[in-house]
Amino acid sequence: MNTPSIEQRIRHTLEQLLGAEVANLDRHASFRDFIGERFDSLMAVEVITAIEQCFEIEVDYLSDDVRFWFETLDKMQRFVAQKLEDQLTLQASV
Amino acid sequence: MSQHQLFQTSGSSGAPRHWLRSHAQMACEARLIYQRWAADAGEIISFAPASHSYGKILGEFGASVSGAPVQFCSLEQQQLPRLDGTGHCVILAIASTWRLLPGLLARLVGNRQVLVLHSASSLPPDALAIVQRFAGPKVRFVELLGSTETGAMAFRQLDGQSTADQPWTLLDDVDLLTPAGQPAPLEVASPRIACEQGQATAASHRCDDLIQPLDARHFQWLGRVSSLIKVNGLRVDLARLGSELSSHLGCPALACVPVRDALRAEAYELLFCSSSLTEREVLGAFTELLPATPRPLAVRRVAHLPLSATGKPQPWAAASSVKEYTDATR
Repeated sequence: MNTPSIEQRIRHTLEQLLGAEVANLDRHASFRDFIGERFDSLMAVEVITAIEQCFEIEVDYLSDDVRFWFETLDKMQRFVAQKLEDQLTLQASV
Repeated sequence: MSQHQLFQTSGSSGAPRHWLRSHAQMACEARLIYQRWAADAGEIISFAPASHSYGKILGEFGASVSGAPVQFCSLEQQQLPRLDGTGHCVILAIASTWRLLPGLLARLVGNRQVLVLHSASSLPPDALAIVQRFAGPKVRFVELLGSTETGAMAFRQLDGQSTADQPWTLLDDVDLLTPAGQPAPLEVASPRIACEQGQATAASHRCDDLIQPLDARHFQWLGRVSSLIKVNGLRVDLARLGSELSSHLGCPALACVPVRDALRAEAYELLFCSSSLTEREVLGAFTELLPATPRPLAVRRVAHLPLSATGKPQPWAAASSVKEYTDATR
């Protein structure tokens, strides 16, 4: 069985939170617009929390540019990939 | 320039009510708080917007009476504070701010005094663990109980030993009118009571809070008398909201049920029982009918919604959790 890609895992996680429509969301579409039509403004924060839990990474609101990185699925995927790579580098250096 | 500020308490539906608070009342409240806990404030970081009485009074008027600059920030809008200020830092927290507080405090505590004030809703579930982690000589936490109609009425100083049922102490210019004895609605007298527009000035106000008086200056907060909740500081009357949506959608088996939430402290889920309505249509009713109302955490179609003898969904207060309300497995 193939290991799901980062994007597939993000979509799966966000489907649990936001509903099945996430599966068909364009990877370059504004997530903020998608959320804004359906949920309250804090759902953007819930999205970040769900991604943190799914990949066991930590998002630092004060130094990570969350407004930019959590704008689209494509950017989320790149952000997560970078965080995971950073984690691996840190683990290797210990 | 007007010497009064108009605040609206619309709840979720029904006619909005307008409350006037004089600039003198707001300055008096800001002075009372800042002189007591942060007379030397060097900076205010407010997560309470200035459109809300809490942000207006302790943010804008706080800056004016303390001489400290104020930054208005918002986690949901991702407008985050610059941390280049100096001196005693006062953070005006609302429920969602606690998500950010550990990172914020970790950066501030090394070299600055910090006062975290919380108001506008109950504390989120993880708040006391954060208090326990950071409270000490350089970081203090104070929770304020207030409302648009009364301003701040009472406080609790939180520390590593604090528990959720810690009693409240009235602020110096507030008197408790609730009679001793049984649990009863919180009723207070104070020179800072707002005046409802078009009505005579009032010296006292009966609140939505249910309390147990302990003595003339202390009480325990037991909950709310009505179906009101405060979602990250925004009021929502769940009974009225449910009734309005039910009528608009033609769905009598519909209820808004309060739930605890890590981010918003207080929140709700919307449950309905219908063979024809979809979740999307129910959410669509918010856009058409109540665009400014905080959305539910979830909209769930359930197979069975318990009804009262008169055919209405069971009173919201009967349910302490969605699970108990629906008998459904979540």
